[in-house]
Amino acid sequence: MRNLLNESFSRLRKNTTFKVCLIIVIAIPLLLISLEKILLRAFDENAAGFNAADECLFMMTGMLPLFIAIAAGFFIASDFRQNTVRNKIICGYSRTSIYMTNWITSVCITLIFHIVSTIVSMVIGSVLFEPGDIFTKENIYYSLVCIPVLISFTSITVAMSMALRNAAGAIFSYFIHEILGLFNIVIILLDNDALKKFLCYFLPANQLNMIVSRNYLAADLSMDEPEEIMSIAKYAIPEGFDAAALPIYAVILTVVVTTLGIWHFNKKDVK
Amino acid sequence: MSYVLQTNNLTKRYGKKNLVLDSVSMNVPKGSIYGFVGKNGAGKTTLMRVVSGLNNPTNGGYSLNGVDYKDNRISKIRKKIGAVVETPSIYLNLNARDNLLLQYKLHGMEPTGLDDLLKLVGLPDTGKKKTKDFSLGMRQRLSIAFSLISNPDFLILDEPINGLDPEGIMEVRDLLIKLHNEREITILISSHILDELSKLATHYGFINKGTLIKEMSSEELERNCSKKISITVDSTRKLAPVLDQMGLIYTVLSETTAEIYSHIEVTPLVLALADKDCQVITMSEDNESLESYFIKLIGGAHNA
Repeated sequence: MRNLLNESFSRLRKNTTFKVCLIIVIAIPLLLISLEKILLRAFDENAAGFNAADECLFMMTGMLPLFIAIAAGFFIASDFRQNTVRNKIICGYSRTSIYMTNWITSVCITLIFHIVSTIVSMVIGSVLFEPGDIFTKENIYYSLVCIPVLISFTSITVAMSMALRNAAGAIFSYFIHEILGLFNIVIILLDNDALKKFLCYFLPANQLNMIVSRNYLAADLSMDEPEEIMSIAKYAIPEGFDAAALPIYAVILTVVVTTLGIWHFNKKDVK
Repeated sequence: MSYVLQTNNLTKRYGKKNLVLDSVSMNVPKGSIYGFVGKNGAGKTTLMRVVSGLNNPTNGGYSLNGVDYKDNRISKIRKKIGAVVETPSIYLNLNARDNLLLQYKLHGMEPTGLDDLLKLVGLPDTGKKKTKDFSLGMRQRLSIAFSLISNPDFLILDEPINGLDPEGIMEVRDLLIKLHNEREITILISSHILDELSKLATHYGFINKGTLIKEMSSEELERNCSKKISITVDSTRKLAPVLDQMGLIYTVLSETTAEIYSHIEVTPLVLALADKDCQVITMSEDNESLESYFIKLIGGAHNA
């Protein structure tokens, strides 16, 4: 598998889609924070969307799944489109190792995007505004929790791209989160609080909302009065099991989706 | 005799109804060039895909160098196998050199022989030209280069000369003969151009409607293919009575040409014709072509 990874990363370095997505992931926080500063200067300094770098720390997190879907999904799809995945099978690599290589490469894309966007937001925010409380325990906690959640998103993208074997897999993997988000309507109608909470925490789109707002209670937005809840506990770290719930659910989702993806890839013929 | 590939009642079904390979048991002897002959949709490509590991068999199985396809050791065996199945599988946004570099990485090998390999397949001067701008023949040759990186013992080539111009066909043919002779590579090759295949193959397998009809060596094929004498004379009206008198089987093709299918002694025939004042202009011995043998084997041209 080391050879497969070696080949995969060599290919990633030459991949235009990945490079373009990386540039966009850097450019968006750069432009948004700069624009915020320009608007503040031009109009009202007190009407700030944010005043310190720590406030724009997670501004890209919600958008990352789109760029992960495009970069990772298209990277995987290109292997199928050009039939080069055949070369790997003919060389004697198992389908499981081919799948895992794509998964590892995609996770690396995710980590690169997450780290780069966080650093850019932090640095530009600090330069144009002030650093604020960047290294608080809440920020560190949510930054770390963000990683397994983004990996679970990535796992769905990999599974979809490997199953559909074209760019549609990448696009579909992004929209599946939006589709699953519709389940929030169903959640409102549930009577069982424990089930309600579990589903709220388990849906990846909700997980990201919680991280972006750095508040687990944000998941309840659709159930209670959102503004009230937001104002009660901004930047809160949950207590007890809730503190570990997001990463645990994300890991479960990752394992289940990846296992199903490998099973499906092993079962199907390669074109 | 040892075999590089043996299939045992290999069956492949797509869906529930579409039976593509029906209990195929074929044997590819070590050191041979095995010509796989069959019409479109006969199952040639599917068999090659199954053997290459791209498709899973529905029933039956196969072994490569004596190792069963389900055995854990098969991945090690596959590393010494090269295959080009259907369209060339190359990265279109990269040049030939970068494509080969990735393939070397896949094999965990240093690209020491890269330039020699490009030269071998006739692509030494393509420079930075991306493979998407290559002709089909160039892509085909690059695919063959891919399959040669690991110094394979066994090459699986599905229609490698498809879409090539006559010069390209000759180049690929010469390359395969060179590989077979110099590196002792066993080659399983399919082609629609049977005449071309007959210039290469040492063994044949004939497949029709998913069933392997016959396997034979080129010597056996030569024995099985009937010979004929094409004769041109000044008048076949004078020729026919002589042939009848000698009890030979023949067909008159025109006023001056005929084909004789029986074994003949040339001198008595020429003397007998001279007696009847029949002048022999040309006489040549032809073998039945592989194509016509195949058509006869599958039961006539209407089946081909």
